[in-house]
Amino acid sequence: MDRNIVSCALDIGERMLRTGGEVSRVEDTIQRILTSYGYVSVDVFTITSQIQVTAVDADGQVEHQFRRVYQWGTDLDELERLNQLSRDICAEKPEPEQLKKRIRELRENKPKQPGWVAYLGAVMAASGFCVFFGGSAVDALGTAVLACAITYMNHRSHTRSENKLGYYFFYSVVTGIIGYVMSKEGIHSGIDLDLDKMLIGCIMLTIPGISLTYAVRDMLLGETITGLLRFIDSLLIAASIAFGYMLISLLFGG
Amino acid sequence: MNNWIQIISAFVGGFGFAIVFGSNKKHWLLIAVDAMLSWMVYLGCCTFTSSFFANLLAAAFCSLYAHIAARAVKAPTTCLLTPATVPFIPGGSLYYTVYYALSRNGELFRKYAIATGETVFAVAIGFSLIYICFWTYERQ
Repeated sequence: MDRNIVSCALDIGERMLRTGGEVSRVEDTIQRILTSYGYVSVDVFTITSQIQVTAVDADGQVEHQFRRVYQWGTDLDELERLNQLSRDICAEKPEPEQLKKRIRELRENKPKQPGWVAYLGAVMAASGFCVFFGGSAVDALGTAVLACAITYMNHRSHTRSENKLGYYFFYSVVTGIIGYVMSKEGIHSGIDLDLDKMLIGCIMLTIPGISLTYAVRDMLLGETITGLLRFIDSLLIAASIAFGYMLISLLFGG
Repeated sequence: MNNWIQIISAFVGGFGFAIVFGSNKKHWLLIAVDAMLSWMVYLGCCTFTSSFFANLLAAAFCSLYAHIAARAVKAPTTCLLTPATVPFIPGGSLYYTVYYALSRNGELFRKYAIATGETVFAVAIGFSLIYICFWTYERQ
């Protein structure tokens, strides 16, 4: 059996994990792909930072591969396309070279959206939740400015992939300063901007509330290690965000 | 009035998060409607039960809607569920919990930690219940 098939199944599993797929989905996908290619026994172990596969073919040959996953985020469209690709692979069983090509094409042919769509999404999300938590229309406009600043940093910064905690600290310091300046300037111009409401709207964009909830869900469903990793990661990110705003609060006396 | 503002902003916020999380644009409206209806379920449940059970029931509804919609549009459930959960995810209280822990304000830290823990567990239980129901049904 061609060992590239195991490697390709791991490529798909790794991409799924990196785009926000659940651990159980990753394990299930790898298992289905390898079984469809004729492996008689497949064991997959996945946590958020690694995937291990042991596959035994009909001749009794054992293939063991390990994949370290360094970072993960959320790209739900790519996850959906990976899911469809894995279904197609199971049905069609393409040759290894063809399989590699299709995985490469999936990444290269990512549907492109105009840049403003990302800004619109961030503004809707942050301003929507600013109003949701009791902010006024003016606060929502202030939050929109902060949401645009976060989106700009997301697109420009390379630090996010290198040091996640440092990035979240940096972004909270920057948005904290912008928010503070806007609220002070607003007072001078007679516009009542509530800094707390503006910040809570933009915090919703980055605070790992979903990750924390999924961590507990994973633990409840028996994925204890994954749940614990996510849980600790979420608390550390929340702490770095809070530390950034706290620093601004101490410096400017907010 | 306040409830309607929350319901509309849950729709707008859910729509925004569908874009932020890179969902397929065909699902944006489905996700926003899920976020809005789930928050309506939460507000409705709050009239007769505690916040814990209201969160649990709203999360279960949100997850049920996402599971059914995902099968209808042939997409992974996570793709529809993740952005729609944001209205009842304790983002704000998680931030305040850590903030008050760092500023050594024990009283407010305890208050927000309890609120965060309660919501996280309620929502996680709601998601898990629906996940187990679908998993059991599909394995049969």
